[in-house]
Amino acid sequence: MATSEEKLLLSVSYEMEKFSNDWRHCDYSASYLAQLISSRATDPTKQSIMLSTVINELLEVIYHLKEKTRSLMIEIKDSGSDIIIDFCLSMSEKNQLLFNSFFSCNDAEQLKKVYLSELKRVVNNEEAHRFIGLYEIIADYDVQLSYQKKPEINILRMKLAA
Amino acid sequence: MTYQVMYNQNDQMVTFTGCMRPQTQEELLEVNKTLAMAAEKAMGMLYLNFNRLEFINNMAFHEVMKHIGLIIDAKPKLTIKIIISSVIPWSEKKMTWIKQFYDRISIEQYDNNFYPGQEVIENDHFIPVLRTQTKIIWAQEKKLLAEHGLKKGMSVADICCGVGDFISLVYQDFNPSQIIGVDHSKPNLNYARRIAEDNGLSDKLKYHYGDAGNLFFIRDNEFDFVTCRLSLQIFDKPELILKELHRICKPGGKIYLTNETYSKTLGYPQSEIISRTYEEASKMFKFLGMDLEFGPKMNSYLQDAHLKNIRIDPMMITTDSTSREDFKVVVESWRDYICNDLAIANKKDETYRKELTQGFNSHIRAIESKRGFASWPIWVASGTKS
Repeated sequence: MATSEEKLLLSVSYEMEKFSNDWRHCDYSASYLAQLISSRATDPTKQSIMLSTVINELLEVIYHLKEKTRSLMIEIKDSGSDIIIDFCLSMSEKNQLLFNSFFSCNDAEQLKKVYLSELKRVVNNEEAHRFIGLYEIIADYDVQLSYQKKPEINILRMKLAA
Repeated sequence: MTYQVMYNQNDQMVTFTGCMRPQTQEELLEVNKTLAMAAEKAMGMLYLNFNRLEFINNMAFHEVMKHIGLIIDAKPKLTIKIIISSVIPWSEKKMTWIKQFYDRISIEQYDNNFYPGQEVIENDHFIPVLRTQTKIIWAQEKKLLAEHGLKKGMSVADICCGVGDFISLVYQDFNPSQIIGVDHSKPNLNYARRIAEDNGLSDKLKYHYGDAGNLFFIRDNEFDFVTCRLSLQIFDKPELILKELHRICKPGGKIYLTNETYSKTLGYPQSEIISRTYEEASKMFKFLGMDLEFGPKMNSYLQDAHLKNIRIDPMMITTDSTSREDFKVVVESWRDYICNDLAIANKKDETYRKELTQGFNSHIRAIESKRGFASWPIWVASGTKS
């Protein structure tokens, strides 16, 4: 639901079971949504590639959650200065705990340090944090990520400058 | 969309293209195999070229990063140069992280060394040159565009669009169903977008920052009419640009080019001084890797690109075909640019620059005088993609 300051541009709904059946849905959806959002941008190509990159990372995280929720809804909003993308789905308690833990730190500098340390683990052939993609999009793309739990629905919000 | 990875032994370069968003490591076997082979064969410097890879996810990035680490460890005498493009925003960000972990890695931004004369052409001093040129060319070019097949309602791509004046004029006079411009000069694009906004046309005229030799964001067979004006002449590898123009053109569509024979720009009176001036100017462009005598070569280039129905026409801009005042403004803009930016880039001394300025001023006087005559030869060529 958009607030009075946020204008809803587009809402896309997926049946989670079908979305989770094919990995390519992440790539296709990210690219499609990115092109739609970027069509009026000053540099549509560059913005589309950037948006596709960040949306794809979040969709891949969602894909890996293997939630049995009925649907995934993606809402794209415009607040004037920012593009807001809400990923709305219901989650198991286990996944909610994971996100609560991830979002317990909201210091951008600290998150960059965590990302660097996770990359070191990759370099050392150790298993990285399952949300390393989220650390990356915060560290590299100045994306603000937040998580909100509402009755029956969880919202992962991605906010970035228009 | 999927990815391709290829190793070129001559260049010692592994090139990644397409979209690399695998779900599992197994999907990256080809990458691992190619990198291993490249590391085995390369000596001294191994290039990893990402400037044509549109998308990569973290699974792929981590595999590439690990493999780079393996190469660095296994081959202590090998250094790695990673080539990225500013057109692809993730590449600089991701690759900078790799540098943090490994020595003997450098990063080259491909667009900073895109073609030899880049620094001289892609600065805002060149904008007045572009604006005034389009103005005096348009009256003749509009007719030639129609004769070379541009019709109302076509989809048009102008590659190396400069400041967008041509696109605006085509939009006005030919009402294309779609029209885009691509350029690699940020000053040009900023200017073009500002003009489009001032004229209320930002929705209609779309400008993209891009590399004419790598138009990855344009699909194959996309446009009815693909133009590239006064531009192949500035690249040291025009055949690469032409390959992309061909790819994005629809079968049955047209590729339309204009290029000059700049040294044959003439004026009377003082025709000898004027001729020498333009010969010198052409040599200076040549020194920077640009060929402003490219006009007559278009025939063979279009044949090599397998185009049919090739047509070449002269477009002679003269003091008869355009207003003397406008022509004078063009030559003044050439003088200011060539005797300063270009001459400095050619390391010419003050005396040389002064003489060259006098040569341009002679041309300006020939234009101003009602008894004088001046001409600027441009060649127009087109071919049909079969």
